Amino acid sequence: MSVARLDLNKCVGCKNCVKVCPMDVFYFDANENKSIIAYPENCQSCAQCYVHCIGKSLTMSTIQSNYSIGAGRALRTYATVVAAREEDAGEPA
Amino acid sequence: MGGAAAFGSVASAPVALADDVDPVVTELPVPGDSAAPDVTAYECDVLVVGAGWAGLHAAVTARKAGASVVVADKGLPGYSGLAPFAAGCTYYDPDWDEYEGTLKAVTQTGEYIANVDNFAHDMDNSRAAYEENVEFGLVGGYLNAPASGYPEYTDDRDYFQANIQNERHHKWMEVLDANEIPVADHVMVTELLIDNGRVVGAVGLHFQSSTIVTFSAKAVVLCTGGGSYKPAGYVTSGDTFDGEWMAYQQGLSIVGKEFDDFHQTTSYQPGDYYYNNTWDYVEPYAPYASFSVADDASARDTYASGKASYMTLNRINQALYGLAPSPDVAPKRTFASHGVEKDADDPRALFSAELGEGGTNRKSDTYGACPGMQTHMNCGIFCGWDDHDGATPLPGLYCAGDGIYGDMSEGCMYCFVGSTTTHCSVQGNMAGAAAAAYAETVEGPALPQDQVDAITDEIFAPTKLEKGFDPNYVVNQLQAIMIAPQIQLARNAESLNAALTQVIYLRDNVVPKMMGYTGHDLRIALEAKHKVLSAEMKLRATLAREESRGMHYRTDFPYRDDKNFLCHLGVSRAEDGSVQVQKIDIPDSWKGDTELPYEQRYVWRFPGEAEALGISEEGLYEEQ
Repeated sequence: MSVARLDLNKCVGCKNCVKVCPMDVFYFDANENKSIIAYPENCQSCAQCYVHCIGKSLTMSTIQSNYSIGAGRALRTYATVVAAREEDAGEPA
Repeated sequence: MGGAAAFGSVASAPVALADDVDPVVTELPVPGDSAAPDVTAYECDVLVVGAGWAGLHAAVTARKAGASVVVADKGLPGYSGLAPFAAGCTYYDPDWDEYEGTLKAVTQTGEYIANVDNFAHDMDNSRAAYEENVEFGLVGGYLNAPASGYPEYTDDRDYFQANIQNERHHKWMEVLDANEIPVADHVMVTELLIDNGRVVGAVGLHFQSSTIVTFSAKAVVLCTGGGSYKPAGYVTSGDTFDGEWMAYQQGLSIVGKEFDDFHQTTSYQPGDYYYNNTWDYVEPYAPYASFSVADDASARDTYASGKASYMTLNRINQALYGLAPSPDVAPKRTFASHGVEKDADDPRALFSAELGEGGTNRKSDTYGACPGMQTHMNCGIFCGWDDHDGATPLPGLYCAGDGIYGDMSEGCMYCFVGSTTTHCSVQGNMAGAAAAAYAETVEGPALPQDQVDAITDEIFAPTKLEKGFDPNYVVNQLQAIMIAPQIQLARNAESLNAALTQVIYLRDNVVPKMMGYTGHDLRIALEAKHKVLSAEMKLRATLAREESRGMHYRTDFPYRDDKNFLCHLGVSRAEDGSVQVQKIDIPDSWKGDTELPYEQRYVWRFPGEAEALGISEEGLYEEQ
């Protein structure tokens, strides 16, 4: 996941994101007085920018924008398939 | 830059737009270089590289000792590296904790290669360091999570703004400003400057403007942290083994490369740091847990087994057998579950396991948040086992903190959650004082311009290529190589050598051909280069340790080998430029009772250990 833009209109040009990002994701357009999500592929999803964005211009996307694998992966369809089957059969989920 | 005043807050925000304006989700074009910093050449007594917990303490202590101090940080102090995400600290409280029991627990849990002397030293100084953190304004706490008011907010940002005065991260800059310590922020320091066998400064890159920044310093303190290969999921991205690179270039020895930490993440959303760890960031930094293992063998056995289960065996099991399916497929706001094993009504137990309405336990079902990361406090420059100051063998060079000071104070395990910032704070104080004292004994150095020029050429080399490789390609390839379970967890000579072949290929055929146009590209290229070296060091150390111990497991040597490996391994550059690994003896006093039967020394089993040694399978390991 990484930072993504919710609405650039809401960016108030405070530069908090540029200052706090440890990964050089953000740059700034002084003419437009807006931040630029320049390098989302290097975002580590720490969300420091997100909590500091006073205009609420940003969101944290759950779409993985960079190569990232867990060392193990649980079966995603458990909730939609097994839990549903168990509910049908009257078993606790 | 000034502290909180430099930050916009909701209170000072202009009036928001009306809601009927269509949202704009297209970014403005990425600019060329930003404006260069006002200062591009610094002169000082002590340069501190990295302003996390160790760096902050190093800088302030050196300053209070009368040295002129400059801090260089790859981001903004308080927001860079791992430091912002620390949740709590441990300090030794004689009314509450068990001194001897704790040291014996470190001995046993650290599997008899823990630097108990330095652990004791840091524990002795932990209360004072904690009080300094209180003085800095970094510490707070609530009786329990709901008492903070956090569950009442549906939007973390609103909670954050409502509590902005308690917010600890901006206080870093306030402390540095109050102590008149200039900060070269958003500067990546990449190489040391040497003259007449001593450190005389460093060179860095202000990457947003592609500007070289020089530091002429009598002493340098590296507080650069560690690194990892997949940092989304745990926030080690800013740490890319920079200090390790610099030390290695100067012929110094790095210890602890073979022990790998983990941090948990969610298997369905492994890059999901924010949702899994919100509370750690927005809450005050609080005292929790403690140095409190009782001084009896049974308590220590239980402690060691519990640590092993949590930190080692669960993830080895996952690597070998996979995970049970999870019913949870969506990220959730969570509380950290920093339980304290004390009476929850005691005011000193500032976090209780009670979460109250609106809270849920942290959901994290797998390791893999930051493969390749060093075990906390167990990796870095070898300074000799008698050292408490972070004084490296190179005159003028000091080190402090996680990932760069190789005192191995917790052996090969992370023994006490919350002790990291304690160690870092104490080590920072020691190194800052030592660097300041050293600086008084030497003349101000002249900047060796020929070295600066050579380093500058090296930094800008990627801009000279007409075709080449994206530095991100190197980073991604390295991730793919290094985070395979047979490299991270259940490893053997074959798998390690296979990885080494790949890493050497990157080193020789790809790294020299990285190209870049922007300062950002140059930063990624430098980080990729540092990570590739670190990977080679890690693989060679892991190959050399032909046994299993703590957070190092070999399927081809699934047992502890006290006869041959009750020691540490130092990795350094050989005369011919190759990476060499050498054993480093450790004091007998660390080794526990070597006469005890194996099953009593090592109370939990790696997979395959019992069979290999013909001993009882009893212990914590359970095949699934």
